[in-house]
Amino acid sequence: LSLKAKELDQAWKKLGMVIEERRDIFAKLYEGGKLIIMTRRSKGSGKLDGQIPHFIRQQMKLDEDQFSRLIACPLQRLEYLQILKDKGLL
Amino acid sequence: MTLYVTWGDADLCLSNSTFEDVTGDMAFSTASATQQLLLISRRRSRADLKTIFIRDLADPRVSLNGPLPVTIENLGDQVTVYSADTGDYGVGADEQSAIDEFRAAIVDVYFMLKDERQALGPLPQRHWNFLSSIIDER
Repeated sequence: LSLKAKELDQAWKKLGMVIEERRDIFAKLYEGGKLIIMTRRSKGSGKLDGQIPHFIRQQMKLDEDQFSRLIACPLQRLEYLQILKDKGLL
Repeated sequence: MTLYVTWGDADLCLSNSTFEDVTGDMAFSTASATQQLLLISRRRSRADLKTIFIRDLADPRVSLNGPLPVTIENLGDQVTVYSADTGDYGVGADEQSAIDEFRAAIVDVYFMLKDERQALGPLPQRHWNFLSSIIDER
């Protein structure tokens, strides 16, 4: 899977993740005042290829289908929170 | 010609030369695609995956109090470093740059989780528990 940084940024924004720039760009999901999920990508606006999308998907605790739907837009914050709740991560 | 195949959890990229080489190794032309892919998968596992131990984070603020095992995978144009213990990763054009990125990421994550340690959900809490058990501040 090859992914554009812009697509990922839009997906994170759609989920209401908080973006924090350090050496890399971190995306953090909060719910109920707690940090629930944290992932990151390198800076730059190019393609995220090779294993990078796989690592980001794993950190977001999504399976391949869910991650594809996140990038394609159907998966929204409420469904994502339900997925995390079902996994005992909320 | 390049063939991209998903095999289990691995995404395989088979070049023409690799495929011919493997086909030759099998010594018969009737091998199923599954057998061929299994052979390639095993070969790749031996050649391109290895485990090393990170002993230093290359940051004056922190040190590791024990070795941290990571898996290094060489994908040709990309090398990745991954910790199964933390889920953190580093990526680079070569092994050293991937290790350097991994080290920097671990340190960033450590301080970020430390800043928020009063309000962590289950997953970040486990992450923090592990990192704080292996990292000492100088």
